[in-house]
Amino acid sequence: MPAPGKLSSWIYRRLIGLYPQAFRDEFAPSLLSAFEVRWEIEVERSMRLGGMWCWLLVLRDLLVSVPRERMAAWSGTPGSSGGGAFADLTTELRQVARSLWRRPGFSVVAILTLTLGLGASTAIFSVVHGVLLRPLPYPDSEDLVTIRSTNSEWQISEVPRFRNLWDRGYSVSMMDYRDWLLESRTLAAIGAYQEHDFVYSGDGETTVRVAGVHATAGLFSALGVEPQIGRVLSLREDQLGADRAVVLSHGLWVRAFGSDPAALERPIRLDGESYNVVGVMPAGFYFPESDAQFWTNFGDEAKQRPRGWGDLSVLARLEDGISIDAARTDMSVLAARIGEANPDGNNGDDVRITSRLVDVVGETRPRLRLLTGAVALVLLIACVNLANLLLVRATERSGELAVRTALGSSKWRLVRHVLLESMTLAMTGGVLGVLLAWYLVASASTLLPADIPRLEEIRLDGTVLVFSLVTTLLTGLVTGLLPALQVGATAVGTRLREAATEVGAGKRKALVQQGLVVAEISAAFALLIGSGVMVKSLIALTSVERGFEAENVATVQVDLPEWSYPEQAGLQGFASALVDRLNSMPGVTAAGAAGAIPLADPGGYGPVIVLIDGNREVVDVGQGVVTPGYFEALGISVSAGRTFERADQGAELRVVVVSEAGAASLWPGQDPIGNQVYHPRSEELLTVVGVVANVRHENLTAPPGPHIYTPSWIQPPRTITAVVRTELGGEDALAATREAIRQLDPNLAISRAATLSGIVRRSVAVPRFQAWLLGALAAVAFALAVGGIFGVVSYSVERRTAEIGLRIALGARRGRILVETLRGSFVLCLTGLAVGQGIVWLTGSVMERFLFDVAALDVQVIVMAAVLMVGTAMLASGIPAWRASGVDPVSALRSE
Amino acid sequence: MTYDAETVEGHLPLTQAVFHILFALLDEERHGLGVMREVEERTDRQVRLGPGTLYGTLKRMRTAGLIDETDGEEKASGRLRFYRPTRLGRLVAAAETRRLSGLLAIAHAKHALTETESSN
Repeated sequence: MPAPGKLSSWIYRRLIGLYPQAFRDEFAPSLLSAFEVRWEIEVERSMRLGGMWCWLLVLRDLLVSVPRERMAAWSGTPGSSGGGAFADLTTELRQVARSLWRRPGFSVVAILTLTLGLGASTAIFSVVHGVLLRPLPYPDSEDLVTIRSTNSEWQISEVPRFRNLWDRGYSVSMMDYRDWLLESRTLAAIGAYQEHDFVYSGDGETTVRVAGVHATAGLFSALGVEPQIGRVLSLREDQLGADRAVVLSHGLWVRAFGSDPAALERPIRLDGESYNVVGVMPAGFYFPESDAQFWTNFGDEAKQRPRGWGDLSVLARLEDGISIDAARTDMSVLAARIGEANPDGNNGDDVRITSRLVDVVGETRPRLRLLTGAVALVLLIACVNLANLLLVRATERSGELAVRTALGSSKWRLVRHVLLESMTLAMTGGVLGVLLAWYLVASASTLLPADIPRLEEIRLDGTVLVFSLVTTLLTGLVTGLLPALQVGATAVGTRLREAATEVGAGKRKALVQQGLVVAEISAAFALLIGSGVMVKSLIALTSVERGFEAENVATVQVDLPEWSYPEQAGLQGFASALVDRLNSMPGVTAAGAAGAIPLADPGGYGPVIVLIDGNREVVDVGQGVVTPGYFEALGISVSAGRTFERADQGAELRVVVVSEAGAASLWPGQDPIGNQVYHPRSEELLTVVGVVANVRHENLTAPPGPHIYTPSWIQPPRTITAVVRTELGGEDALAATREAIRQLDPNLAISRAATLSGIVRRSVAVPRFQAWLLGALAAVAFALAVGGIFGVVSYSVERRTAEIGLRIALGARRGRILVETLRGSFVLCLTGLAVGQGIVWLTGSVMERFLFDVAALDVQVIVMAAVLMVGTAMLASGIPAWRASGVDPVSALRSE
Repeated sequence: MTYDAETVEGHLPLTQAVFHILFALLDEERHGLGVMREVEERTDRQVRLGPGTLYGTLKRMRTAGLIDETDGEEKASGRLRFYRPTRLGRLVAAAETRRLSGLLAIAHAKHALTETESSN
């Protein structure tokens, strides 16, 4: 026979080296001769090409059979005759499932633990992904930026509010916007907009309030979204004297026009004016929030506002390849030039540019980071707990495993079994966790406070599921690894001996277990402290001196439209008539009205001029416009003088009321009553008649600043909130107040109706939610950790039953054995507390941003958490220890 | 030794390599190369077993108890091993035949062949 190519044989002999040792030992000569025969056959059939055919066949054979033999050798199984490694895996999975099924207690606890951990982390990740990571729903949205004006002089202002404004920037004026549009060299498109609640009268009679947006044409170029039908706003509509045009949202088009394309060029009435519908945006488009139903051009009045009048938001798109820093430099130069050119009444001399996504997400980012950290700790505890359970279980079964090893199961097979077990548990927990997360996310809109941005973007999508899968696999691997290594590291002989006498390698295993317990305690302790300070901060926040009495007050806000109340006299007439009517309602103890009420409206801020030691000084103060009865209705106490009276209206003396902080800042060390202040906005010289308590207007956290109150007749507000203190229940009072307004003017649309206590509650909704969620996570972590301690101590005591029995037989007292056992747990506990304290110390600066009047390392909270943790841990280890110390020596010794 | 149905059915369905090797051994005991040649002839060279697949499968079948080895003559390259099916192996072969016949019956009942014949 023709000799096969020598080279080919030589190569194949080398390739045989790829097979595992045992396989080579047995079959190497056979493999080589099979190769040679194969060569002969192929060469005989196809001559020269035969060699190539032979190699193709052999390479395919190597590709399939080498991994298979390697796998078989690695897992120590010879492999079944059927589907190779995979059939083997199925059998083993079946075994694992059966063994888990046989111990329902263990399995249920393990799966529940994982469901909680994985479900919570999946849910939180879907929130993080939806709010922080998912791009905004506009093309190339990473190029979108928000631009605000700022004033470099305020960088060194003594008023914290101004420093804050300098840092964050504020609204832009129309004239500045125009100049930016014309002169910026780094922006591809720039648009200005202003949100506005319109009174919408669709088909004549019915009027509803609908959220809309005034916008310039540039807004649509910046967003880069095309309308579904018609067109968007055009540059022509930015000009003075242009017709009013409106672009509808898809939702409004469907609801109000039944998706009729003939809606185009059909006018609708907004705020009493006629607007031409020019286009409809596609479904799913929203800007800036999902509640905005249409976008219209600005009216002529808004287009002519002076340069110093900043009330617009600006969205821009960066030019291709321009970084946000480059745009900042360009725009800063431009803004400085504009500021310099208009020394009288500019709206600032610098700009703040932020990425749109960062701007939208704002304060939510650090909050979500905090939650992510908390959830990670819970997941860690869940993992540790499961690892502990598996470790105990592996030890319990050490006898069985040792027998299996002795009977020829390889070490790897045992390791694989433990890993498969943890993977199976993790996957089950993962699937249930996704279901839990799905439920949580579905109810996110009710669970989450409404002012979290981008709520509509939160959903379980592919990315979230991939995250969940990866987390689940990692959990399975991590929890299985420790016990698996423990199993794998113990040689067969040791194991058999150990099963009989319980000495030796048990020491190291106990050390691993103790490490796990310490990890659990530290994570739980950190979470307890975190949620503790959150709760304490919440309590401080809700019990802070607000300056007003929130109970039994109804507030209803209306807008008085310009078309029916063109004059100030009409506005004031409405305000007094309203207060009179409210006062005459049964059960009303006090009633008034104001332009802005605490914690609900932004409120005014502006300069007043006072004479201090003969010098004119300009001081910035908060300003409120109120009717007589307002202070009484809100329960704001009067510390000196009096409040407004009806008789003050039209009187020679123009009156003003100041807050205590206002009095202290305007006339330090003097009696403010009778002092005078010039009010530039109304161009009036006002005389102080009373001093009232400080009120927290903006939010509960900021200390109240100086504040003055002017009576409503000086500059009656167009948006007015009625405040009514009653003996009726909240809802009844609200209904009665609305009815009173309707009787005065049936065409007014109510923009807000809420009890004052409801407004206060809403103002702490986010901190409350945060405290609640962190508390829930801490409770879960605490329960898991206590369970973990109980399990470990029970197990270690059980292992020592014989020893304890012997010592009792030799005369040891029960108390002594109890103390000894507890001492061990106590040391573990203290170590855990120390590590947990470290975690809190490291994360303290992040926490502190969300805390009010509490330090992240609040001693009281730490002591309470430590006492709780140690106490419960001692109880959890005391129970098994007590049981063990009461053991009957005879039966204990017999148990061996 | 008797085998219950579960043990026998547990091996079904047979992979291609196991099937051909097992059936090649049913009529006479063969050594590895003999199996290779027999399979190639029977299948008209449609199935060509590579060396690794051949010996790997033989090894697994032996472990699973489908075949056992008989000592053959000594050769310079080493001991030439002959393989033959065990009783379990024969039962499995019979069971696989029944299973395939059942499948074939279904295929015939559905006139699966007429399609290809008419299209040819």
